[in-house]
Amino acid sequence: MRNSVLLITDTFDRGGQLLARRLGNSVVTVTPRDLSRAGWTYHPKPERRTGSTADGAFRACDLRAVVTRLVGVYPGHLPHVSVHDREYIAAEMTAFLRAWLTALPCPVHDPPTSLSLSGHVWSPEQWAVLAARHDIPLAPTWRTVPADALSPDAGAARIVVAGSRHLAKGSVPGLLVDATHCLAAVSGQHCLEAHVVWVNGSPRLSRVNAWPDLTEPAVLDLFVASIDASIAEVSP
Amino acid sequence: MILIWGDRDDGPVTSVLAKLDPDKTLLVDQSAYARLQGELRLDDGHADGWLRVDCRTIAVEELTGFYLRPYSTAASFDSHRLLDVTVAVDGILLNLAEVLPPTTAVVNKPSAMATNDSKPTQAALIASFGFPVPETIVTTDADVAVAFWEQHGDVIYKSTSGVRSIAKRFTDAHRARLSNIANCPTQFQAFVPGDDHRVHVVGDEVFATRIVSEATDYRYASLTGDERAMTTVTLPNDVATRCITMARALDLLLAGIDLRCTPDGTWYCFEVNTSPAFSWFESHTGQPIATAIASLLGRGHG
Repeated sequence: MRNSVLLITDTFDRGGQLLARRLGNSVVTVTPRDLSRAGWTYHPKPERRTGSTADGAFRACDLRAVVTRLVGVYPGHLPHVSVHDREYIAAEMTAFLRAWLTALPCPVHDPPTSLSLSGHVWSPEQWAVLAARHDIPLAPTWRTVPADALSPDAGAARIVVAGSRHLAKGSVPGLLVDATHCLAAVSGQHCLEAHVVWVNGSPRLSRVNAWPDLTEPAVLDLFVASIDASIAEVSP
Repeated sequence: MILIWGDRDDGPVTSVLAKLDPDKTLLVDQSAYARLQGELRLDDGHADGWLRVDCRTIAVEELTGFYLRPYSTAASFDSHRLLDVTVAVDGILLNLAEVLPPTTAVVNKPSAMATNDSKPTQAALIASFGFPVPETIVTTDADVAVAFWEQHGDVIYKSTSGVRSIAKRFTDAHRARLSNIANCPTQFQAFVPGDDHRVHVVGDEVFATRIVSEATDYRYASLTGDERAMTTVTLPNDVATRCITMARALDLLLAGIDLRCTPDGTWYCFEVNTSPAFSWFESHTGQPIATAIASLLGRGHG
């Protein structure tokens, strides 16, 4: 399993399945069920971390890259565990993976954060605060109790960035392409999607999403190319 | 104005409420979600809006402090009819906590509280502040666990996540059922001898309690028939400073830091509790922790 790309996903993840197919023999797929298998060890030193699947054991330091498609492990991921224990074991597995994925020497898309195993799961409001701090034009957001409305309706035009690459769908002003790259950079996200809306005659980003849809072929192409590029960047 | 979110019968919430002026406090009680109305708007990074409970309305801009201690949302609605209300209330309050200006004392932001959801991840952060942390592994592999045990001689095991568990010594009796860890990664730590200290940091204030007990986990001393003595102590200056620095760097205005001082005077750090049940320590020592929190909430931050 040397030089493999580790894909952490679940059986419901259609985008992850398409990604695994595209990566072919170089991918090692791990689902939460695999964490109920001897051979996983977290050690503070990344070179001493190990993992295990039905196909065999591997060392974290032998991986070329990691792609994580899970926010966390949830009770529904663990039908093999008794119902009484599922919630606790899901929390334990999430905590384990968060540690295991932190500070690996290879590219990790995206590194875990305190609230997610893969990048940020921020609300529109959190994206708005970060964007304002960096003068990135984002549409206003609002929410109410009782629930009324969230952000303005998303426009059809949108941008997906992955690493230094991007894909624009519809009429996207160049400044918003740059703004999306900038937002990805300042948030530390490898991959980011944003829609375009017009507010008082000015184009702004809206509906920022760190999980673009990999079932869309062009987005999958973009993502795979960006993984290859990130691996090439760290290869000797 | 001060906003409190939690269960009014929860010890820490009760303690803080007792120190606040009711006319300047709005409580969002988790058992009465349907009574909340509100709106949160963000434009150019500026948050405004309002919250109303019964007939009392406050503007978001008026808030000097926000204390959050909600329980899991799953427990906060008693029928499916309230599910949409629960989602809306959690959504507005969780987001409000993240986007209030830095001058508002948010105790604590949900994103900061989540650092305690993975103890080994948090331990790596703790070590970066100069605190020794116990040697740790998390594994599904019985052979690895046995090797760790043989290497350290005295080992405890406990939960890896933020779910509360009782830390227990690993013994020969556990060895026979060690194969069970293949079902779930389990955390093992080298045992560190010494006296436990719980340090509550509130802003720049430090309240330290020394706990002397023979129990492996002093919180559950009564279960093992062990004694427990709790006394207020003054920490060495450098240790207190490190606690404040660490809490600040973790974006925590309130932290419950678990230290252990070894017989040779080394201060180990085990964990930073991000929503500590400080009222239990307060009731044993008389430390004015709730007063300090109330003061911080009233004057704002920075």
